[in-house]
Amino acid sequence: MSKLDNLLIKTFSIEQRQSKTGMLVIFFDKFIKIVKNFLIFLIIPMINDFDIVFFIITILITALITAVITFIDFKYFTFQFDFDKNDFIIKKGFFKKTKLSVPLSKIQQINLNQNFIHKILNLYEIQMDTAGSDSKEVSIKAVDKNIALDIKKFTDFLKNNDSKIEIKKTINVDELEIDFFTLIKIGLTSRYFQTLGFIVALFFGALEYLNALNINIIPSFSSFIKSGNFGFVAILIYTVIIIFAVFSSNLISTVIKFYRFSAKKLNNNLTLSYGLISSKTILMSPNKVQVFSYTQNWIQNKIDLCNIVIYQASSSISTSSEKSNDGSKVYIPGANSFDRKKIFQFIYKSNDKNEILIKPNIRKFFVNLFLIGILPSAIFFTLNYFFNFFETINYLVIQLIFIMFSFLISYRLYKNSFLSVSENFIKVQSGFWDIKTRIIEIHKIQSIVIDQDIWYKRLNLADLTICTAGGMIRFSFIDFNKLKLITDNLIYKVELSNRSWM
Amino acid sequence: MKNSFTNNKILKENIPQVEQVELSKIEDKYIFIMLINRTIWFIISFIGCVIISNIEILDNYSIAIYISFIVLFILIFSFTRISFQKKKYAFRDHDLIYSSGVIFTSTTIIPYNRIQHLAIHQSFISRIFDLSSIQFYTAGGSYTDISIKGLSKEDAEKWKEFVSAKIEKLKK
Repeated sequence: MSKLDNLLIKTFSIEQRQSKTGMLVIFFDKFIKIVKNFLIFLIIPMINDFDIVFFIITILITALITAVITFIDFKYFTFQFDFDKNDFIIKKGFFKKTKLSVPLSKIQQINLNQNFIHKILNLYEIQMDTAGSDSKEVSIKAVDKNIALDIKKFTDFLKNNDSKIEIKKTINVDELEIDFFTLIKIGLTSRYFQTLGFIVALFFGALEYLNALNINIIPSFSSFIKSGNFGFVAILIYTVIIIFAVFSSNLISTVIKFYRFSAKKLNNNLTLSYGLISSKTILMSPNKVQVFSYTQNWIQNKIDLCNIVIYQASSSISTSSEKSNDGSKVYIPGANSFDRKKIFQFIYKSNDKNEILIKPNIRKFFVNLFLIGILPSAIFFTLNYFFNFFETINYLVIQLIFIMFSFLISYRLYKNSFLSVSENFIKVQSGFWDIKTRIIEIHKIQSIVIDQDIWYKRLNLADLTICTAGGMIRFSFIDFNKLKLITDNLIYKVELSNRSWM
Repeated sequence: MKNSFTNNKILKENIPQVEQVELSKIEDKYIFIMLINRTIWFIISFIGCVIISNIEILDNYSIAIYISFIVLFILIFSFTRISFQKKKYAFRDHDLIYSSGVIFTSTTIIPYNRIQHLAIHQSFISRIFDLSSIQFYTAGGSYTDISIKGLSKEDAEKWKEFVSAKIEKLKK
């Protein structure tokens, strides 16, 4: 190693503190967290009689307590490398002392994050994701830019233990950048249904909240529905408003989240960085990848763009909390088919191709039609029969449109779904608008579940579920003979393979 | 169609088949534990039922609630025996298989080289009958973890040794 490296080794062998200006970051972090948690207790008594003096005193006391906690936290938080054991060590705590040592080989990815305050002070938050049941997520709240980059370099270096030739390779980096225009395109074409659902949920959540605060707008809302304002123009206006809300919120969130997205090959890893308000840097190593998935809808197919999501092995599956699970997902928005192939090639060192294609049984269509179309229609009919929400004419029109849509959805769900097996990969595609394709390397399979309901036994049909450390994929209504053959072969390959799944 | 499917080189036909494996049943005594568990559930949900039918709005429907509740439990109890017979397991050379379920039959296969760790559990009731359960964990999440209940204590220990030895051997 060079001289510089020796100097770095010396620095990191002894305990390091976080950056002093970083105390501000920790302070605001804690302050916001405390305010968030106790906000409801503050607001409710204040709605009726607002006392500015009391308010300021509360804020000041909270700030003072936070400051003391911040100082203790800062003083008793150190990190260092143990170069003998190849461990990264964090010591923290004043009352309850904790010593965390993470073997470098267990570190799955290192994320450098910046929120607003980090950006002003030119600091970084370091997050290390580890996999395995005995691990905890390691994070250092605020360090200088140089130290952050050094740590990243170090862990990369020690983890791979590759020769210098490998590092030289980084000069001819393969880069993928997603420009602003592509982000706009992808923002306008993705996630229609998710955002729509989110907006509806938000709307009802807000109603509930206002109701809890005794600001009652529900009567006016329901009287608005009952007043029969369901004319053609009204419906048109509401639809336009909703569509506008979906488009704009999609566009804004995509641009903010993925602004200046770039992906670079670095040694054997892929480094991704993006973000407008809080920028993120993620290091992803290909052998930790469990599921490679991409989504493309009809419009995106025409303009040749897709959203790639890469699922990595995560320790958080068993606890399955939504937030930490997100850390093991890597998003690549707006890749064209060439980029997609390049990334796939980089991760798996091979191409994806369909070799044996299996379509689901036609019963998938009928079951979906029953669940999506006929069952809700029957409920709707019964309710309308007893409570008379709509006049007969209106009812018939709504019912007809609904049945047509459910027919279309069920048909597309059936038409778009297939399973394909090749020498090293298994691939499943599904969806009616956003068509999702998921690819798993066969030796990364953890276990296989075959489900067969009693009424499918006679039809000789069954469902297949394939589990990996990064999530599972399911494919229903397969011919049981084919399914048995596939299962036997998959299991056989997993057992024969010496390659590690992580 | 079928010929072109099976002749492909990717899917081999002369390999071990899950279908042909003779699955073994769990200990007969386990049916008593199943009955006890169902009785406990019966008592708990009966209390729930009493509370629900005392709610004012549902006062008129209380008979219907009780009848549907009792019908449901008669069904559940009468399924006990079939459900017991459906619980089967097998340890092969390279993997283990567990299958269960009356209406929704599911068969799980875990290769030994994907098992993270395993554990033997013994609950209070199963201690009376001298039974144990053995659970296998993978990195694939709790959905596919196999838990074979109703093994005799010796069998559970025996299989634990067997699988542990397999895992050790594969590590080398």
